[in-house]
Amino acid sequence: MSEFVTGVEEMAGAAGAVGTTAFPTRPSRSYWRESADRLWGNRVAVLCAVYIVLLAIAALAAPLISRYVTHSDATSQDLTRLFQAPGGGHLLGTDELGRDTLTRLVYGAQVSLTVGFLTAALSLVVGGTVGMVAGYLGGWLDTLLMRLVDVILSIPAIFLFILLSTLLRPNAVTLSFIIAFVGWGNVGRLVRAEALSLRSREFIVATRSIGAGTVRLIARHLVPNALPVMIVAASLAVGQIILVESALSFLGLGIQPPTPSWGNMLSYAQQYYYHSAWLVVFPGVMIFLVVLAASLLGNAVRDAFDPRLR
Amino acid sequence: MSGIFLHGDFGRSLRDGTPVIQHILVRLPASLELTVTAILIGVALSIPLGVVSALRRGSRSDNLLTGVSVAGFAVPQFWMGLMAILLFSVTFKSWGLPWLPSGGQQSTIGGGDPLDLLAHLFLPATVLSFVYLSIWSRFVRSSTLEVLSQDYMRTARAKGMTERRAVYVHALRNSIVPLVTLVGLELPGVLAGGLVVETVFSWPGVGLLTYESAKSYDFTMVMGTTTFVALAVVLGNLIADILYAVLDPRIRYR
Repeated sequence: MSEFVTGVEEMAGAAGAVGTTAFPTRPSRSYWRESADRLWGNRVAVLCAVYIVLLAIAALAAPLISRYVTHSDATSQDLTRLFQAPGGGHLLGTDELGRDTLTRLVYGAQVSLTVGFLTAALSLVVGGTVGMVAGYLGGWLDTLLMRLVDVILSIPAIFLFILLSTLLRPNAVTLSFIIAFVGWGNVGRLVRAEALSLRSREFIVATRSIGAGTVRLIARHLVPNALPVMIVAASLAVGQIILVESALSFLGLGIQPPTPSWGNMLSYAQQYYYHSAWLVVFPGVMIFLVVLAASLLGNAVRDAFDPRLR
Repeated sequence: MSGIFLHGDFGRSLRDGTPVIQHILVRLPASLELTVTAILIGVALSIPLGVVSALRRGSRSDNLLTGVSVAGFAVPQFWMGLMAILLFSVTFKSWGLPWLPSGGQQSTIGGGDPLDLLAHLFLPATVLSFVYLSIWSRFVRSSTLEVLSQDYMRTARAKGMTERRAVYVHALRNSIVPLVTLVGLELPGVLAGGLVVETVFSWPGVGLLTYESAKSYDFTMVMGTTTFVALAVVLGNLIADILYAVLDPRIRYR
C-alpha cells in the first residue's frame, strides 16, 4: 500500500517537473475568470456596458437632475411654454403640455431599465427552475412542462400582453410580470436542453451515487454548470424586453400617463409631427440606443461565455 | 364548448353583440395582404444579401450588412414606422416631392386602383419586413458559409465547375431550404409586429382590430383574435414543416 502511494507521488512529481520545465503550462485560471477576461477584451462590449451603466446612473439620479439641471418635474406643466424647440430654457424642448423633455426622458430610463432587468431576472428564475426540473426529472413532468411552453410560445406574445394588460392596469413592476409570464418559455427550453445533457454526465451520476438528494443535486451541481447558458439567455433578452415594453407603452397598454416612459411619450408625440418632430425623434433614439447597447452586450456575453456558439 | 369552438364560434363581441368571427373574417384579407407582402420582401431581399455577404466574407459590404442588421434588430418597429411617415409623407409633402400616404389601406375618396393600393402598402410592408430582413439575411449568410465548406462543393469545384455555377447550382438551394423553417417559426413575430405596424399606419387588419378592442375593453374580441392568430401560427408551422420535407429530399417524416 505504502509502495503504491509513493509510486503515485513519484509519477506526480515527474509530471509536475515536465510541466514546469519542458512544457511551460498556462497559469490555471477559472472558467469565470477566463470568460470575464474575454468580455473585458471586447471593446464594443465594454463601451455598451459603460453606456448602460451611465444610463442607469442618470435614471437613479433623475430626481437630482430634475431639481438641479432642468429645474422642472416630469409632470409639472407650463402651459405658457408649449412645444418649445430644443435649446434655450429647456435643453431638449417641451411637449404638448409644456413638460420638459429631458426630465421626462431621464424618468423614462427608470421605467425601461427596471422593466428590462426585472423581467430578465423573473424569466430566468421561472424558466431556470422549470427547465431544471423538466430536464433533470424527465418523464411525464417534462412532457407536461414543455407542452406548456409550446402553448405559450405559439401565441404571438404581443396579443397575450394586450390581453393581460387590459385585465391588469400596469406599472413598471406588473408590466415586468406580464412580460415575464411569456418570456420564461425560451429560457426554460434552453435550460432544459442543458440539464438534459448534464444529467448523464459522470460527475452528476457520481454525485447521485453517493446519495445526494434531488434538490441538493440541482442546486449545487446542475445550476452552477448551467449558469453560463442562463446568463447568456438573460443578457440576450434584456434588449428585446425593453423593445416590448416601449411598444406596449406606445400602444397605451403599458406604463400609464402621467408616468413618463419612452413608449408613451412617442404615443402622444405622434400627433405633433408637423411642427414638433423632435418629440418623435428623442424618445425613439433613446430606445434604439439602449436596445442596441443591450443586444451588442448580449452578443458579447455569449461569445465570451460560450465560444462554441460564436 | 370545445365543439362550439371548433366550429368557428368565438363568441360574441361585448361591444355590439355580433359574432367575433365575423369581425375577424372582415379584417383578415388586409392582414394577410400586409403580412404576406412583408414576408415576401424579407425573403426576396435577405437571400441575395445573405449569399453575397457570405461569398464576400469580411469585406466592406459584409461588415455594412452586419451593422445594418444589428441596428435593424434594435430599432423599435413603431418608431421606424413613425420616422418613415415623418420622412416620406410629412417631409416629402412639404418639400413638394411625390409623397406616400401615411395610413390606411386605400384612399377614402377615389381610391382602390392598383397604384393607390400599392402606394398605401409600401411603407407598412417595408417597415414590417425590415427586422426580419436583418434576422433572415444573417441566417442565410451563416448557412451559406456552412454549405460552402461541404464536401460536395469541393467536388463541384474539382470537376471544373465555375465558382458562380457551383454556388447557383449546388450551394444556393441547400443554404436557403432551412430558411423555410425559420420563416415558419418567425410567424408569431411577424403577426405581432403586424399588430404594431397596423396600429401606426391605421391598417385595417386583425392587429388593429385587437388594439381597438383592447382599448374599449372588449375582452371576448381580444380573446377571439388572440386564439385565431395562435391557430394561424400553428397552421403556419405545419405548412413550413411540410414544405421543408418537400424541398429537402433528405428529410422524411414517419
